[in-house]
Amino acid sequence: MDLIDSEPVEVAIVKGETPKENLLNGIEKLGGISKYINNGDQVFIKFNLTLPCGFPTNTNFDVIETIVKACKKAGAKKVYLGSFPFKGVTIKAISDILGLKKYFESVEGELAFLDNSNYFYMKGFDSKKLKVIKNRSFSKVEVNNKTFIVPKVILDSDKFISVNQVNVDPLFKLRLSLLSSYSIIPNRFQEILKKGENFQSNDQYKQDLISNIIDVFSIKKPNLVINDLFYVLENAGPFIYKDSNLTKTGIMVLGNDAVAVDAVTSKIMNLDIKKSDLILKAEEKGLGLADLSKIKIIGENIKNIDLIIKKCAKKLDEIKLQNFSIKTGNLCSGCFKQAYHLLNLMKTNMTKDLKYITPNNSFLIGDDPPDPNNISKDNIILFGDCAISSTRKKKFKVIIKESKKKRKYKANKKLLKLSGCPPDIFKCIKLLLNFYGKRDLPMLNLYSETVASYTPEKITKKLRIWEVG
Amino acid sequence: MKILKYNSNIELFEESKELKERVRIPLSPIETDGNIVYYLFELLYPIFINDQQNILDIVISDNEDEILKLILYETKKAGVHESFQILQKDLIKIKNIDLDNLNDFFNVAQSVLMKKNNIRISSLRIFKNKAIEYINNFCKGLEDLNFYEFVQHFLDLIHTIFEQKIFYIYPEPNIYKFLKKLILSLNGIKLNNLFEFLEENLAPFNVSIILNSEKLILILKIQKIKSGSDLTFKLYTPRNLGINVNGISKKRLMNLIKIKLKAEKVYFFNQKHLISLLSYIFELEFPLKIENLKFILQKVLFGFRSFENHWDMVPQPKIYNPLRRFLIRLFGINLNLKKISHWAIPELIYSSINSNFGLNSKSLLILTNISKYKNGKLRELDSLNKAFRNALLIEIENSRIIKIISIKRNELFINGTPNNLQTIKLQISEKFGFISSVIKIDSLLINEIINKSVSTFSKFKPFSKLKVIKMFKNKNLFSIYPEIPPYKLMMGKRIKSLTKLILRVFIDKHEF
Repeated sequence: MDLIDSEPVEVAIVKGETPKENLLNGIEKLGGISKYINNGDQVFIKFNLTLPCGFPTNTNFDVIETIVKACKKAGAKKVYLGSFPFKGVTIKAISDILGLKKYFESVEGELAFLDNSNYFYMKGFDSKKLKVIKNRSFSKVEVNNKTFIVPKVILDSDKFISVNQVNVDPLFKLRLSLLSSYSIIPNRFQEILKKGENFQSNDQYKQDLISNIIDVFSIKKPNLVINDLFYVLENAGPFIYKDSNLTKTGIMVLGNDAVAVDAVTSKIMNLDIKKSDLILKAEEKGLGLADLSKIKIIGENIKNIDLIIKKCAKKLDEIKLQNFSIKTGNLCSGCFKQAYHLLNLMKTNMTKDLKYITPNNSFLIGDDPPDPNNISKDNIILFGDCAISSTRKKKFKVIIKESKKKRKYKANKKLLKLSGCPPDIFKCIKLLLNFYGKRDLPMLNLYSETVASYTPEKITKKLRIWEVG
Repeated sequence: MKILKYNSNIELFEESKELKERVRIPLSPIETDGNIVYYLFELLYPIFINDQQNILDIVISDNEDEILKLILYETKKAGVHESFQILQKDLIKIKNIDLDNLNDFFNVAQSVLMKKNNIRISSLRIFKNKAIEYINNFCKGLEDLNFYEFVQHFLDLIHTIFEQKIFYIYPEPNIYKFLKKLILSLNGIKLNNLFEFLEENLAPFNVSIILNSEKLILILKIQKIKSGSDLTFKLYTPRNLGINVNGISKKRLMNLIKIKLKAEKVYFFNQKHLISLLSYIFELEFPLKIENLKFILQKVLFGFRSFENHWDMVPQPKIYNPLRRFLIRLFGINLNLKKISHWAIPELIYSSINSNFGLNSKSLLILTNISKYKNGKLRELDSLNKAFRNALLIEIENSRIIKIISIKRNELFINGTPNNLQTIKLQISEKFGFISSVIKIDSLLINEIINKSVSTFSKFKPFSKLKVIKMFKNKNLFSIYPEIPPYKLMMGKRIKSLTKLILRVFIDKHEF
């Protein structure tokens, strides 16, 4: 509220030849970096750091370099950069694979190991030391009767900047800055727990997720928000998949109010703001302005920009997998999101495998999904707890063998249960490999081994220990 | 002139089939039978240049304001130049030729020639005076050049002509567009340097290649006696070698050529397959899309796995012997090259590039040559500076290679700073923006890869082939900074289990 009360909400839309030029131009249009950064400030820059992959899975590092240098030029004492990555992946692993620590140091920034993964390789940590470090690095913050664990480096920073790479997203259509702000808390606290009987039918997952995102966002609102849509990953995202396509728009949207910046970005990307629960809820809570008529828009004329990008698949069966038929029951957003990623990952990393496995495979998901095409022949994958529990009494769970004398009931061995609410993707990969066999899934096996090279069991165990609140 | 005379009389000879005339392939020192040159032009010109008749060559001044010479080539068939006449240079009156848009000029030239000579042309070739000078210089002493020197000079000529924009064709054939854009995207990196690099990394060889077709079988003999610029090339027909191909089997023909030309190996390809591959390559759009390279690799691998169908060789590669394959399969290694996964390998490479380097990336490729040091052994840090040979910065945008820049030694190695890939990455990032990765590869390894996959692929030495993987694990020969996941995986795995893991992807599971 204080931001809106004290400052006019300004959003700059800039178009240029390079992302770097756009950023500098945009900051200039908003009044210069000194308007946001004071001499001696400690700055925290939140950027997308999801997986050890190339652009645009993570933020454009040329943009980060430019903003860090601008902050330093404005007199910032210290510039930290960070974010929590995808579940099961450590910041240290991503930093090592992308060479980030040294790179940020070379531009006078510092990578913040928010998950303390820089300690994971050190020896001699007993539970006391662990507790000391955890207490030193995290604070408990209460918002709307919920407790969140937030890194102190973020809370203690004088200024907070969000640099968000805009890509398509399966749940929210676009990965905008509000959604991106959620990864300032550890993965364990990002998880949505199943509560109540109507969790799935009311899509409580999405409602709880939106509510959590907004609560987390309210903990530390950014002073400067940058939605970088110079390049946008479309069709399949926000990670690079087989169906992904990178489109160049040449545009960047930035301002002092994340809700307003997201609203303007949505507008120019042809999304109906009235249908964006996240933006509307944030406005409703007084965390920013979404009413375009009240936002001072500078730079390019919003009416002249009309970007049409291909969104993610709305339904899972739109993701075509060879030899697989996808049967969807009543589905909540949690399972949809995870299945979307798993199916895209399979499509990307199982090109050969999908030809090898038997032609009949059914992927059943959601509450009370339709029966497989061929009960006796199909390999059946049950994805998520709802699919597993609601099909408990289905015929395909048992195989009946009839002889002259008697009937024999046997458990269907062609059945794979991917449990979880929603299931964990890395666990799903392991289960798929066990089910079909490594010989039949050579590409997925290679992918799994490659992933294991940066998520060794020893380190993921440590991550779980360090994440406990 | 000889070839024009030959072309104009070809019909007289066709019946007798007694063609003894020797001619030189235009712009080359290669002397061969007139009918081979006739055949090559008749076959290739319509496919790669223009499939219509009659061509007008125009020589213009360097500042494009004057026509200096007009030559009309009449062709009975596309590509078969039969006669020429020098036209009056003021026949076509035009103030300035718009070389970027030759459509209008072509129409003017066409109408003038129709009116005055009653001839319809299908193509214009415009040379600036400078181009003629370069070509004349190139042709001086051409007969005395060996094949290696000829290729070097020829590639240099092509590079110069396209770089300086002194030669135009209308309508632009695909090969012209391809070369123009290739040279532009190479950003000053010369084609002859690339050829030199490739030649240097080839071990000595002595092969013959049969290019089969129903009309005329061509036989190439290519030999590299020792390292360096020692490459010979000869072109024959079976008749030249005294071989009657009527009723002769493919294997018999290959064996005969092996004996006659004293070749170590004889390869057999179909002309139409090679032409189809080349056509596909020339149709490539620039900036080069990684996905298109994926399709080319798919085609090449498909050809490779079609041994005895699309291509053949003598001596028969031992690797295809079922008994030997069975024996090594007992050790868990499935090396059936007829089942090489032509679609999965490019797919894996493509998705690996996309996910590890990203859809937009800048990667620095450093080529070193440590072989000049004792036993090829150098300390890892020293090897970079001392053994540095070349460096290329490859910029990819939306999975297209948009720029290749040659990086000089002094840009990489700044005095006083340690010479490792990490500092190089930071230095280059400062100048060119964020560099995703720095890849260092040594000539020894490239040499080994080329030789294992081309020269000695047919030998049955599975364990010597594993040596290549071992070499990849040697940081003096190959390293990547930062260590991307596939590299980490390779470094962390034992050679045998890594081979098994990769071969399952590279070789199809089903034997039949």
